[in-house]
Amino acid sequence: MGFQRLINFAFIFVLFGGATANTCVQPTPSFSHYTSNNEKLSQSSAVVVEFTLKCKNKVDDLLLFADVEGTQIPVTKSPEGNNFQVSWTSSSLVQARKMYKVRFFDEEGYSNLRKAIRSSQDINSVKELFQVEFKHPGLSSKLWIRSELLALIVATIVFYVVCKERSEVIA
Amino acid sequence: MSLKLITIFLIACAGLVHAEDGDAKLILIKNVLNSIITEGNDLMVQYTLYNIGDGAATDVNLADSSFHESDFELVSGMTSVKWERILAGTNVSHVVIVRPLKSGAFNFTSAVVQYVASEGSDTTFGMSNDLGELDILSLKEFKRIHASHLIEWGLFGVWCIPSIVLPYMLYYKSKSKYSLKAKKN
Repeated sequence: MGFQRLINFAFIFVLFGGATANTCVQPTPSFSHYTSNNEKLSQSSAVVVEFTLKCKNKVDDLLLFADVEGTQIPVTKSPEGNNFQVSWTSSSLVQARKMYKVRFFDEEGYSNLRKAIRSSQDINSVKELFQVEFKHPGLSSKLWIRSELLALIVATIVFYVVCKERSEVIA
Repeated sequence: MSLKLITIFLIACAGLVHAEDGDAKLILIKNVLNSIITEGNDLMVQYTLYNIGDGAATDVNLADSSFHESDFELVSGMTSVKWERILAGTNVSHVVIVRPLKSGAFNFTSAVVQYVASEGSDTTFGMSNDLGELDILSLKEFKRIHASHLIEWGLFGVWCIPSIVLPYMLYYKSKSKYSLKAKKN
């Protein structure tokens, strides 16, 4: 009887222990981000988020997935495994100022997310491991009118005034 | 008759075995997102890995060592990354942002990917497309084409003022003198 209990206990311990071996407890990310914002250089935009993660427990080979506005992207690691990066591009420029919110999931969270998508549930109901938020400042060029256009407008006004005066004199 | 049947059976078996091969095959595409590359401005490089094989690729390592520290400054992103697994029929992408430190033509060479195509097999190496020589504009050239030339136009306006305003002043003087006389009369 005692032996049976020991076996049960060992089984539960292994199950529980196994489940928490590869997830980060109390994750603390420290991240930096980059968003492209120069429309003279490119018509595409890119966003890069790099971060390192501090966990309360020691985790080997943490596998992470990111969810950005409904799209899931796998997170890449540096070869040593301590720096993470997630990046994406879009074929059009993000012109307006914008807040990006990126949610990160471990393997278990990601499979829950996929289940929620398959059963058409709200993906915000799936609990993420952690999330980061940052601002995209919008396009860098501040002038909304080109200087050549401005020069053309001024020249046209001057020309119009001169023509008007001239027609008055001739008439 | 039985020989024919056996032959057909063996070919079918071979076909079945081939279908269950499950080897991954990765294609790496290196792509520059910029339409203009300029010294001192960001250059966005995108790497996309497509798994066109039947199995998942594991232990995928991507490395691009063509951006030397003497020619490029790394702004954001890592040039060596790894993915644990890329499933068959899926693709992943990675972006690196660098800033050229010198202008002139630069030869953009390939990036390298190494992965394990199926369980227990050796590491497979692959290379991306190489982009060849692309021109990196100097900052002076870029400003000449793309900067807002408000100061230049302002100066142009200032130099135009003598040749426009002086005749106008003469005309205005004579007009006011004669229209005054006409009014008096």
